[in-house]
Amino acid sequence: MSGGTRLENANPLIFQRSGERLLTAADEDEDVADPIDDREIFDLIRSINDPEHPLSLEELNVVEQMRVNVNDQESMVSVEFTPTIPHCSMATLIGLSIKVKLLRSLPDRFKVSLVSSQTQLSLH
Amino acid sequence: MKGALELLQRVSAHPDARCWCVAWSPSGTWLASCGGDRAIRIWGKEGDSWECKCVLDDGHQRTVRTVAWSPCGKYLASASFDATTCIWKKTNDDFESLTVLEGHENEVKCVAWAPSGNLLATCSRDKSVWIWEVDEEDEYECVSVVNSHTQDVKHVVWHPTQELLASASYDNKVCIYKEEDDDWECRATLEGHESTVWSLAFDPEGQRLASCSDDRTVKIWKESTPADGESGSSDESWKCVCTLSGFHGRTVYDVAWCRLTGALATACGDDGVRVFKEDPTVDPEQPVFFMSAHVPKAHGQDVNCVSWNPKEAGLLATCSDNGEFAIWKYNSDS
Repeated sequence: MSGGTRLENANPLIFQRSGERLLTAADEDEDVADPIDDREIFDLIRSINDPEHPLSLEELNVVEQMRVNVNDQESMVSVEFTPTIPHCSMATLIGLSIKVKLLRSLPDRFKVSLVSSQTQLSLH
Repeated sequence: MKGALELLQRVSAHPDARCWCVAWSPSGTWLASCGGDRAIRIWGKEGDSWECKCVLDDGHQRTVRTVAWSPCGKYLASASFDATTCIWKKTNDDFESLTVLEGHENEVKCVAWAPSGNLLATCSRDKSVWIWEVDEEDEYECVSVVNSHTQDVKHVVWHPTQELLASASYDNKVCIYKEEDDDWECRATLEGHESTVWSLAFDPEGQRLASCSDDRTVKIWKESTPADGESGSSDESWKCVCTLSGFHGRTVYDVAWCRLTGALATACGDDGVRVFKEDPTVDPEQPVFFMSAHVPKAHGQDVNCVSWNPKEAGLLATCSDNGEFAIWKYNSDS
């Protein structure tokens, strides 16, 4: 982001990245269709960069796999993301980055819903 | 009381692009479609199926968002993301570009002809609504620019009988405009939707206005004039007399009120098309609508537009992000 004077969150908590996905025998089998699942969506959005810091949304815990819900049959994806601070002014931008990444990566049949939830940390 | 929507034909009108709008000609014999491939296509019925009669693909540099037929059926207006509105004149078997209306700063979202045929309205992402006048020599002149909205204006529609215009916007509001001393101004603002208002439709008599929104509801508004003896401004106010909620799974992108049957059709982001009918036994001041027909997966993607045929009752056209349009037959009792 250009022209920033004050950072929204100068000292964010950094989380550890989870490892790569472990492939099962069914995944490797060409004849079996792999349904799109929570992990696949998470893998698409985890490396999106945060607007303020050279860190990914996963490393700042803005997105986590638990808050991704996919229903391949119904072609629906919902992602709940958590900005690192309450009333984050970049929440809309982060939401849009996630939404556009998914819209461009998923088949046209998918409907993507994004919800921003309040951080669980209270910074009083 | 339950109705049904029967699919008559599905057409891949704008391959690899969105089909944004479908519009029936006043005679009901032509269907115009437009889309992300920058083209306008005119479709006519040959036997039992709809065939492409004409392709207008050199009028715009970007997506064509809305097409509208003039009340006489001789002209077609197309609104485009290239910030222009093109007026086409129908010749024997073709259409020729008559003039290009410029002025908007960015994407033009909608164009609408007044029933008199002398006025045209356009609206844009530049937050303004422009009103144009046409004279006998086919000359177009902008007579008013109104800036009542604070965000992208999505839709404009004229009242069926009075010289009254309504607009819908990303700012969640609907504005009503009337002419005062040769200038158009906003006379009323309808608030109530909790998110973008995508489209509007007047009922056949022009007494009520339907609006549909990103908040997944359809609202019905009625004009109420102050009772005699009441002090205050003579401006009429519009009140929301009915809200249809719980029927749509996602954003409602378009609403159309049939001039022949009074049925209300909606286009939804959940890929479904729905038809609502009014309960005739209920007090018209507090109308009640029930869902008469519903096709859950009418298209493979978002339904962008829905349009009733002006001459054949129950004939409905819908179009979708997957580039298709579909023709349906609606029966109110099945």
